[in-house]
Amino acid sequence: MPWDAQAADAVVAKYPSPRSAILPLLWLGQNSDGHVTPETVERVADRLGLNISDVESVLSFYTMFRTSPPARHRLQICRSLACAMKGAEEILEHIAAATGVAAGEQSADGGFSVEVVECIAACDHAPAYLCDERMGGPLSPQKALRLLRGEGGDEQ
Amino acid sequence: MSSNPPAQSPAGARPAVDGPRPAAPAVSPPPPATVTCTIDGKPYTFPRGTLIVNAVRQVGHPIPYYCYHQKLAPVGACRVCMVSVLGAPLTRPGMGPIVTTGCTTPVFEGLEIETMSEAAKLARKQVLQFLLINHPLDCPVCDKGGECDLQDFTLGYGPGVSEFAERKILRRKADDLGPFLVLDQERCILCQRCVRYENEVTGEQNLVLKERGDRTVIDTGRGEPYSGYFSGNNTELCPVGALTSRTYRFKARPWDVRPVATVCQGCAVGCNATVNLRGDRIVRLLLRDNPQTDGGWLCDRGRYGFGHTTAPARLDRPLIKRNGELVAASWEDAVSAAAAGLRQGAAVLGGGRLTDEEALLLSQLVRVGLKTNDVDWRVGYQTFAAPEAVGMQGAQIGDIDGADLVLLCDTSLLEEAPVVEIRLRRSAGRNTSVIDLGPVRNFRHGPSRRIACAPEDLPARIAALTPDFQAAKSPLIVWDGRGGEALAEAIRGLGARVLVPAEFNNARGAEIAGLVPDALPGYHRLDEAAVFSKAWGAAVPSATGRHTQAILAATGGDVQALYLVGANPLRTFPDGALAAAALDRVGFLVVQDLFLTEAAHRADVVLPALGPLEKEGHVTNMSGVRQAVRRIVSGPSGAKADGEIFRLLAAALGATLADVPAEVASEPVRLRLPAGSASTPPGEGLRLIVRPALFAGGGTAAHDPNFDPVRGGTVVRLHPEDAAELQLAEGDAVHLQSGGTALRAVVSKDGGVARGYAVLAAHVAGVQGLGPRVRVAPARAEVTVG
Ligand code: SF4
Ligand code: SF4
Ligand code: FES
Repeated sequence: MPWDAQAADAVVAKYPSPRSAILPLLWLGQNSDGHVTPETVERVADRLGLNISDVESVLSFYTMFRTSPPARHRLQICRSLACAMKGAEEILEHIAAATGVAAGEQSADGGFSVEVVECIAACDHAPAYLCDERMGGPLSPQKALRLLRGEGGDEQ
Repeated sequence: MSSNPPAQSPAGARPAVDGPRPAAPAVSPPPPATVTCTIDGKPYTFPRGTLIVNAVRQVGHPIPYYCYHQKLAPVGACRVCMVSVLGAPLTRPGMGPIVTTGCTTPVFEGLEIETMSEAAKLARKQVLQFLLINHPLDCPVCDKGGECDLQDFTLGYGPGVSEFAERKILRRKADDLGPFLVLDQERCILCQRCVRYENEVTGEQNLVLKERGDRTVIDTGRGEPYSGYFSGNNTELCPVGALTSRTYRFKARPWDVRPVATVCQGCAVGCNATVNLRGDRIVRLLLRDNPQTDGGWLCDRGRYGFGHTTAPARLDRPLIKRNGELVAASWEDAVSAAAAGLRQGAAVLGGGRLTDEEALLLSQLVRVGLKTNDVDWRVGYQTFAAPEAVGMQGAQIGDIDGADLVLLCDTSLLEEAPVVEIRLRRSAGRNTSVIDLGPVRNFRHGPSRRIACAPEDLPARIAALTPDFQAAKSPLIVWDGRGGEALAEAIRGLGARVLVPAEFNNARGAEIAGLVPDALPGYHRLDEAAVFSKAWGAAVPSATGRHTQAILAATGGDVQALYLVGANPLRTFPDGALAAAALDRVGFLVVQDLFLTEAAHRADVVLPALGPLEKEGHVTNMSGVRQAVRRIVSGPSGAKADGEIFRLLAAALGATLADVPAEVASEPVRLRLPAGSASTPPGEGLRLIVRPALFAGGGTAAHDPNFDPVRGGTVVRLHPEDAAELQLAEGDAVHLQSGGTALRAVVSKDGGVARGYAVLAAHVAGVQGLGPRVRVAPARAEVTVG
């Protein structure tokens, strides 16, 4: 999808300093292309008068952004302190054993990907996760496999 | 967005974040300029605003710190500078001391600092243990070993053992960031000094933080090579062995190098540097702060430009042409052959790369040995070195800091005086407005007002800036002396001080020594020749000599012999065709240089000279500051210092060179400038302009192995729309054709180039031979050169 210059202008206008618009502009790109393309990064830098490296740095900080085309289902499992103590590692091991897909990988058919992320501010649901941008928890190994098959959907 | 003003606080009082609010005085007196606090029990007084880390250092107590650096803004990232503090508002009454970071906390009245409290010691110990969790501990093969803050502070304040049994995270090691940096991500402690330097100082952000948490690393934006001129400063800022210089890797240990202080001769800024020698080889250059010149930084041209001292291509014996071949000769034979050839109708070009003392000797040699005033250091685009010599008021480099308006007149500080560009970037971000005038955008890392115009329109555009200059309090003009009298007149009209980057590093020293056809040393008039004759004990000619253009035009006529001193007009003189014809025509050619240049190939006698870092003396920088340079290495054994060569030649010519300067009372002369360039007539193709580029050119850089990584092919810069019209893409090979000559180049699209221009780098072989217009055609297509 083409870069929507008008939408970008509207976003930039909301902030007192251009740099504050990095994240919403990256979202704009991700929402239209499915992931943040190198062109989006260049456009954001150009639009805000920033160095490309500055935008790349911000982009790499946030695990919510994708820089390659997404799998059909994307499961992000938190491994920060609370979630690690409640078994996040074991869930990852279970997924790997059952599907052959380890953290940071995508299944061969592009059906799903598994990632680990730092704290997503849902420690009370530990082990917490994000599946296709919906947050949930506590996650169990069985539920993880259901989510990867696209059979999640019941909880918030 | 809410635009409400922040909650009002009593005038002058800071709103208290915490604790009891101070009673608001009706009118608060200005706070005293100093504050008194105690450090480890003893009272000291500091200027208000002094950070605890600096206060502690000033009184000589040890305090570890990584992220803090005097040249960068505090950030409080590493948490190793922990000290115990007691005193409101940091602590409340009745509360004991707390531990806080010394690098982000300023001292205040009544503050009590304990640097060695048990709590502070424990906090530092824990931080240091954390910093080593993933560190590879490869000190035995690390360049930083012996001068590493991680080693030193761990020994001084860290735990003796680690409690971590987990596997270390592996990252990229020996990561070639190119062209000069090698990064070891595993050694990095994420202090962000490099990131902040790239942000606050260069503004280029070539190095940034990527990822987060324990996966955070330092990297370039997209893993591309580092692409700036100031990369090396990172290696000195980095407190550990993460950012290292490719040229220094595995070359030496800090305890077996010998430091010698000197001045960089890479350009006319004259940055101060410390050379490190291992045995008799230079292994690295470090910066040595001089607020007057470098402002505490070096560029990569200067930091890594020492490879010429050991370059295999260095000339190490004199050469004489016999039967069309240059063959090795003794100094005796070479000097007498040179003297014999120069005895009649000789002219001298060059001298802008000598020391001040040598330039003065050459000036004498020309007058009393060769009996002429046909001498000119200006063998390139620059038409004068000292603004005072052409009726302008000179500026100091440091004046940029306080200037409220800076006009860049068709001049790039970045390419011609790199470290000065850093100053301009920093002040442009604050209160300096920059006007970037000319056919090419020259200021690309800071806000500026861009006025694109053709070179011949510069005088009119400058005149139109008069109101801006009248409104400014301390305006400054940066002009590299390209152009002529018409432009100079316009610049004088603005009445501002002028800063002149130089084409050759000691252009100013050459000019004041009288290496010009219309003045004697000290810019004295030629009709003072008698005074000089007396001082030098030999007749000094008083007839005005010829400048470079006239000398080159007169070869084959009454200029029968040419003596080129560190000069290669084939690469530097704007009219390349004239230079080539002149060197072909001249009856006798002597070339004195470090390398076998294009000019040296055509010489009858070649005299091998010593270069920068190989000679004692002084050099005069672009704003007239005279600084001593040291002989640090001996150079090729068969080469001699230029000054010594001048004395040998003088003796062979039957003259002696005096050591005393002449005492002359006359007013200095104003140097004549050429009228200025006529506009290029309309015609086919793009208009060619040649502009300086830091690493493109000749001099020592052309043969320095340290610069191999940055020595690409010839690049032609085109406006993207011109490139599109010609159906050329980035990186395409093209032929540039003009008249009967052609040059191969690679296309680089550059929105900073005005439309209709093709821009090439100066001092590159083949560039000066092209005419004022070029046709740009794909290299593979059939072309007729016409
Ligand atoms: S590379 Fe060096 S300067 Fe940069 S963050 Fe790492 S330790 Fe600090
Ligand atoms: S700016 Fe000039 S003098 Fe300074 S380090 Fe670079 S080349 Fe040397
Ligand atoms: S030096 Fe104070 S936090 Fe790093």
